[in-house]
Amino acid sequence: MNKNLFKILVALVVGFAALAVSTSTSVSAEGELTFTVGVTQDIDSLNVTVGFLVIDYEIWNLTLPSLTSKAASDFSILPYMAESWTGSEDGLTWTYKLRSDMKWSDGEPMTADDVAYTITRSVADGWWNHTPVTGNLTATATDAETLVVTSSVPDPKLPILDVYIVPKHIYEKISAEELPNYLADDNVSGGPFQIVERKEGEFVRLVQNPNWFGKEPAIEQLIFRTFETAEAQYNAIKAGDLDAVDDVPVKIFTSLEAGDEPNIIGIAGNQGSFSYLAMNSSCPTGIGDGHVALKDPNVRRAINWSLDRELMVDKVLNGFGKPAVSISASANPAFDYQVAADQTYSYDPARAKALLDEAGWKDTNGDGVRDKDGVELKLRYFDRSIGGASDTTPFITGFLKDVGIATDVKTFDEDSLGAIQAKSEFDLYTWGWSPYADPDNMLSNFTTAAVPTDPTVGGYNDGNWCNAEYDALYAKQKVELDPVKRADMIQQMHKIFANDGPYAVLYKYDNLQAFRSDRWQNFVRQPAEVGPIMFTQTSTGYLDLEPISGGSGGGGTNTIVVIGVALVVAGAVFTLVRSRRKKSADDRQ
Amino acid sequence: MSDSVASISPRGMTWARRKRALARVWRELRNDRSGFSGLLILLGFGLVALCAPLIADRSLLLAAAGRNNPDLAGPSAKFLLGTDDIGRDILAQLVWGSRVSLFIGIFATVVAVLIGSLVGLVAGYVKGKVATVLLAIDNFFLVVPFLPLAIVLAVILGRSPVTLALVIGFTSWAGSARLVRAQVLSLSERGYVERARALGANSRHVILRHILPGVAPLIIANATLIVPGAILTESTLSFLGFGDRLSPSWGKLLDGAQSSGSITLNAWWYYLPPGLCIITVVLAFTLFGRALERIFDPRLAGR
Repeated sequence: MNKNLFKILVALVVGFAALAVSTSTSVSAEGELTFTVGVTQDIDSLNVTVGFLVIDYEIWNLTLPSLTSKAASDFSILPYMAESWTGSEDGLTWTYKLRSDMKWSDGEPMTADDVAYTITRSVADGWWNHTPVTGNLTATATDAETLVVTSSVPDPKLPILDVYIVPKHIYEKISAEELPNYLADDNVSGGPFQIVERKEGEFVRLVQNPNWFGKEPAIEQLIFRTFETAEAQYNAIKAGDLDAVDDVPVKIFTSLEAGDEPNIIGIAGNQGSFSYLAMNSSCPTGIGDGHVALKDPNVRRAINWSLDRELMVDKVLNGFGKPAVSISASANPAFDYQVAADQTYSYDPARAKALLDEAGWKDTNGDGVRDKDGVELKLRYFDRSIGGASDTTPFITGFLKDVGIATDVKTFDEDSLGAIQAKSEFDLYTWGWSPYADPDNMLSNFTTAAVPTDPTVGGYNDGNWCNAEYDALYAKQKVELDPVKRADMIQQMHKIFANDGPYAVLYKYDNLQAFRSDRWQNFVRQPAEVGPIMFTQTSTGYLDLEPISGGSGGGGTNTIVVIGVALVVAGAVFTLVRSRRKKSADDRQ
Repeated sequence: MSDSVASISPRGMTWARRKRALARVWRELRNDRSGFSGLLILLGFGLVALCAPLIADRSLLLAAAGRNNPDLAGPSAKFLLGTDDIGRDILAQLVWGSRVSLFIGIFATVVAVLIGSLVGLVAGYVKGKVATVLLAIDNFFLVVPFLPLAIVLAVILGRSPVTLALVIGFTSWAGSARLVRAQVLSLSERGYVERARALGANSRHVILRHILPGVAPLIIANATLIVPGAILTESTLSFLGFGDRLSPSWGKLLDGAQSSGSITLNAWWYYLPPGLCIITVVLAFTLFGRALERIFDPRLAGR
């Protein structure tokens, strides 16, 4: 009797479990169409005047509109808030005609007033994500749908105006002093999605913005989940818990390309991100304590010749990248340094040694390290504890040792290394850049004006380098409206930078992303053919993604669940029936 | 007969006594199967560490050494334990890694035992305010979470093997200070120490001649037990990315295996050998240390 009761209990528990399994699957099947992305970064700040991480920009791309957008294929101008635009004859004034049907997610109208407000306030308060574009602009809204923008100098970037537009009715209530502490947690959105929930360090959940006026995405709910390691995140997509991941370990990505996982597609996208070794060139107007040898352009050239970039691309990136000798000025490869391979740096240690000899750095005391006037050629080498660039450290220190340059390696976290850079107190260090669409911003980093002169302020010129010729060309291209002439000036700047500059650029690396190809299709790259799908300049890839309806792959997992449920139910029924039978047998006795 | 006895000096007598004691320890160790096997394993690893240059050329550790090798290749005749994610021979890194891991383990222990014994001796012998202060410091190091402290120190002081050993030693002396103090307290009350004092011996003489020899075996046994902890700490720090990334320690191999995704890719030859080495050495030190403890402190024999 007791035994039978126990069996019935077991059968009930099993039955409920089966029910629970079946309901949980039906919820995910009937619920909102969700796209979950695994990321290894957590949001730094949603406040567009404060944040600087890649994930922050991704959220802003999805929640804040801009006046114009950029084509996924070649970053050419596209309508966004503005439908059309006309320029004055001198090219200094542009008049934009805005859509009339726009609303913020909270129902407030979105007008030319919001744009004029954003531009004016960003200049007044010096918002650092905005001023590279808006610094020379003034804007007035003549009516709700008309915006007049005037530049104080000829500006080749116009009529593209791609800064994030903020809701005036929210921001005008916040003073300049309070703004850095504003958390942007009212979640007012003007983009395709709006944030509905966020748990710091765990996830951020977005749903479609009901007042969105652009292309309607198929995705109804978008979730970014933060993972500790790239490998953990990859295992989550493999198990089917994620639809996409950004940052797949290179070796695993190689196995994906080999077709080891039929339901996952790997996409290696390049948008100009590059790694480099900065050499403290001790600009006379700057501060710091760089090694005396690095002031000599010949020593910097020698370091450039000593590096085997091909080997690092092969081993560190597993081939997902390209050797580079100059910066990527833009996410658009058209602005890269166009130089024949035999006209620039290659792996040539003999040439590096000859250059060092010529510069007077010889090993006079026989300790294997070059010296000059009693100073050893031993360089402080600082690298980051995270990020791909640190994997190059063992390679680079080896190459330098081969040509007689000793290094003293110290590893820092990002913040500490940033503080050291602001003081220019280093000899060598490794980091990386990701460029914008317009080359101006990246090129501005190497002007004399960007050299750090005050540690509390810092400066982007992290090679502590100055060159009058480069400065002059920078000023010229900034106001050159003829795109061909401007491109030519940028090539001249590349030549100066590569030949004389403070960087040994190592390589351009790909963003390695993976997607569930059994659930999603229509992956649109930005820039076309070479770029990634997510974490791009405009993040429009999410709007293009389409679910595979009744796809065989997705069906596969469902079938497994159905079979599992069927087995559990069958087991429960069997147990019940058996206990009944036994009971009836007992009764008969 | 009486002549020969007279010819032995007091110093000689001491040496003879020590020799006998050592012989007893050796005899008991030989009979202690687990302790003796621990010792043999340790000697084996020590031999490998010493002979590393004969087994594998140091140049095999360079990043560029994998230039013409396949990455993450399984064991083969050319690479007995396969290659890592940049094509370097794993066996070479394992052999040279034994040097780093054993060096850090032993050097850190020396540091910890020196600090611990000094603090323990002083706190046990000199009572009063000094002891109170020392005990307070000791308590602090006993309760403070050890790994975060080690990480903070490693970040501040740098990451060469020597500084790592200092950091580990500096954060793991508190236990042995406790142990030594307890033993010193007990020894100070013994009759022979009191008699020495009554005969006019000063503190220096009492500590060096009577108390230190009494606690020495305990310190040695305790040290043997600190080594595995230090090796594990080094591995943990390296695995978490706070170690010296340019020295080939076992923990760094595990870190490389983890960050390159070798577990997902089933590249067992990358993570299994360093893991097994760490476990084996830690186990060997523990077995050997426990055996020494049993021998030096017969009260533990039955346990």
